[in-house]
Amino acid sequence: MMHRSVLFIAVLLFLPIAPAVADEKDQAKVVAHVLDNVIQPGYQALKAAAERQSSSLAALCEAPGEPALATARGDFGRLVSAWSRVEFARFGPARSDNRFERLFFWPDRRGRGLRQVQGVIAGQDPSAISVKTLRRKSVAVQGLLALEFTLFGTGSDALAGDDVFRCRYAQAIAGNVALTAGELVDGWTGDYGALARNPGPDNPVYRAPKEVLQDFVRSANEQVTIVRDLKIGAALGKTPEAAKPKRAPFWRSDLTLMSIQANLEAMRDLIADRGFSEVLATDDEWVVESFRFEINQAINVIKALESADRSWVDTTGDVEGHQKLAYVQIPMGGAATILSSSLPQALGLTLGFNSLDGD
Amino acid sequence: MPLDRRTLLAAGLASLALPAGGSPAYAADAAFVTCCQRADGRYEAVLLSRDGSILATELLEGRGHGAAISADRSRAVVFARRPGRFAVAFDLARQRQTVLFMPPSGRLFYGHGLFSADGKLLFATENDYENERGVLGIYDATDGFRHVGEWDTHGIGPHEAILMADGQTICVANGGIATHPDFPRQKLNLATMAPSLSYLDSRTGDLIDQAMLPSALFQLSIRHLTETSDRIWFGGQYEGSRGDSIGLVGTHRRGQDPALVEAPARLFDALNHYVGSVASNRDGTRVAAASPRGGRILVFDAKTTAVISERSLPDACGVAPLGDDFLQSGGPDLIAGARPLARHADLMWDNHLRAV
Repeated sequence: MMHRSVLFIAVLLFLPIAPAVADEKDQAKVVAHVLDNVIQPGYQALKAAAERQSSSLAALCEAPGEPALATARGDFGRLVSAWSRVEFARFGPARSDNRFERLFFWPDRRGRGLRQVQGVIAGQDPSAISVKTLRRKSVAVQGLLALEFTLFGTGSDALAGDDVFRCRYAQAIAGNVALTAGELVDGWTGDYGALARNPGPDNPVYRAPKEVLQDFVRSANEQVTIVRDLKIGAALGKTPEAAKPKRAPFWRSDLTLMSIQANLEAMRDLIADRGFSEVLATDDEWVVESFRFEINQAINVIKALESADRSWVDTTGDVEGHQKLAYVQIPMGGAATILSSSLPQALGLTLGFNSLDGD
Repeated sequence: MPLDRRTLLAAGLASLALPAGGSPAYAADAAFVTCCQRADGRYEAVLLSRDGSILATELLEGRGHGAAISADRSRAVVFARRPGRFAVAFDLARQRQTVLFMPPSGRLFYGHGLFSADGKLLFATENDYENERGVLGIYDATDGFRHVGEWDTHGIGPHEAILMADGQTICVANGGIATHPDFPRQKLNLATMAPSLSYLDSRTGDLIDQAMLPSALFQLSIRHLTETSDRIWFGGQYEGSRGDSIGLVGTHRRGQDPALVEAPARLFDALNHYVGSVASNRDGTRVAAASPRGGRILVFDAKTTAVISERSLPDACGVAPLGDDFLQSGGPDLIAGARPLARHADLMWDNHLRAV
C-alpha cells in the first residue's frame, strides 16, 4: 500500500494561459442548460417513443392487421428520430451496463447481429419475448436495429397476419428500449447528473465545469465525424455503382436520411442553441455562429435529399444523389474542425495531441 | 531519401542533462527513438540524443507510434499509428532510414513490435481484420524486412508486445477491442471485450501461457507493457462509464491471476481511464505509467507496487528509462526525472519514447 506522505505533485509545467473566457459560474450555467434542455428531455422523449412503440406493438400482437402494422411501423420512425437526437451522448450512463450497445449495436460489419436476430426468429426462442430474459441475451438482439429487422426485414409482412412470435419479440425489444431509456434518464438525473452539475476537487470525474463542456464538445465532434465518415462516407464509395448503402443504419426502414438529419439537428441544438456562445469572449463568438452555418448547410442538403422522395438505397446509387452526399461531407468536415479545434480553443479547453482518442 | 539532420537546442540546456547512469555515451549518439507532429501538421520519426536534442528526423507518410530497438542497438523500426500501413527501419549508427515496409494485404499494423533476441526477426502486432483476429506479423530483418509469416496472438486487438528478459518469450497485450478499416477507429465490440495477456514462444509461436482479466474488468483494455524482475506490468484503457473508479495499472506473475495495483482512487481517477504508455527504469526498480488524458505520470516502486510519485505534465505520454528515473514527453516538452530537459516548441511529441 502507498503512503500518502511520500506522494508529491511536481508541477513541472504550467498550462498555457487560457484565453479570456467567462468564469466557471457561466460555464456551469451552460452545463445546466445542456442537461435540462438537451440530455434529459432527449432521453425522456426516447423513453416515451419506446413506450408508444411498445403499445402499438401490443395492439398489433392482439389484433394483427395491416392498419395496426402500419401504425407500429410509423411509431418506429418516431423512435429512431428520438434516438438519433441522443445518440451523440456516448459517455456517462450510456457506457454503463452496455446501455449504448443494447440500444444501438452498430456498426455490425460482420452481420453478426442480423444473424442472431434471424436465429431468434427462426428458432422462436422463448427467452426473447420477455424483457427480463431478452436483456440477458446478446446486445445485438435487443436494440433498435433488431427491432427494425422485426418490423421491416424479410418476413416482416407476416406481422399483419399470424406471426405472433415475431410480434411478441418486437414488443419485448420495444420494452427493453423503454427500460434502458429510463435507466439513462435516471442516470442523468441521478448520480452522473450530480457529477456533471457539481464539479470540484473531490469530484472523481469532473474537476471543473469546463471538463463537462469538453465531454459534450468531444462527443459532438465524434457524432459529426461518425455521420460524415461512417454513415455517409463508408456507404457512399467512390462512385454511385460502388455505393454500399447498407453500411448505414436504418436502410431497411428507409429512415437513414431522417436519422442523419436528427443527428445533425441535435448537434445544432447542443452546440449552437444552449449558450456556448455566452461563455466565449466577444472575439470568439463567431466560432459558434460559424458552427451553426456549417451544420445548417449540411442539414439543408440532407433535407433536400429527403424531400426528393427517393429511398436511401436509390439516393446513393443515383448520380445526383451521390454527388450531393459527397458534397454534404464538406460542411460536416467544417463543423467537425470547429468542434475539434476552434471551439475547444475558444473555451480554453486543452485537448492534447495524445489525449483525443487514445492510441 | 536524404537525411534531414538538425540540432535545435539552445546550448544552455545541455547543463540540465542528467549525470550518465549507464555506459558513457557521446552527445551525438541516438539515445531515444520517438515520433512527433510538426507545426505544419506533418509527422516525423525522431532520433534524440541523451540531452534531448534532435539528431535526425525522417518524414513519415502518416502519424507514427511505437518503435522496436534491436538488442545490439544498431537498428530501430518505427511503426505507423493504428490502423497503420507502414513501418520504417533506421540504422541507428548512421542515423538514417534504411527500409520502408508494409504489412501484407488484409493486415494492418497496430503500432508496436519487437525484435527477436538475435535481431534476425521483427515481430509486429497486426489486425487480421476480416477474421477479427490478432496476429504477430513476422519480418526478416536480415532481408529488407520481408514478410515471412505470422502467429496468432490468441486474442482480439493486440497493441503492445515485448520480448521478455529471458530473450525467448513474447508477451502480448491483447486489448480486446475489435476494429475494422471500413469504420476507422470505431470500437466494434465494447459489449463483449475479452482482454488478455498472451505469452508466446518467440521460436515457435506456441502459446505458453495466457492470463485473462477477471470478468468484472472485461472493459479494461490492456494496451501497454513493461517487465520488471518478477512480473509484467500493464497499463490499460477503460471502456466503461466515466463515472466508474477503476485501477488502470496492473501486474501479472506467471501462474497467478493478474491483479490491479492498489492505490488511492483519486490517483487513478485523475488519469481519465487511459494509460498511454508504461516503462521501467534501467535497473527495474521503478515503473512509470503516463496518461495524456489526465496530464499525469505515476511512478511505482517495482517491488512493493506502491506509488512513489505523481507528476503533472500536460499531454504526458512518452516514458522511457533514463538512469534511475525516466525521460518523459508531453506536448512539446521533454522532462528528465522531475526536471525540464528540453522544449521543442515547433512540434508535439507522440505517444511513445523508446530508449536505445
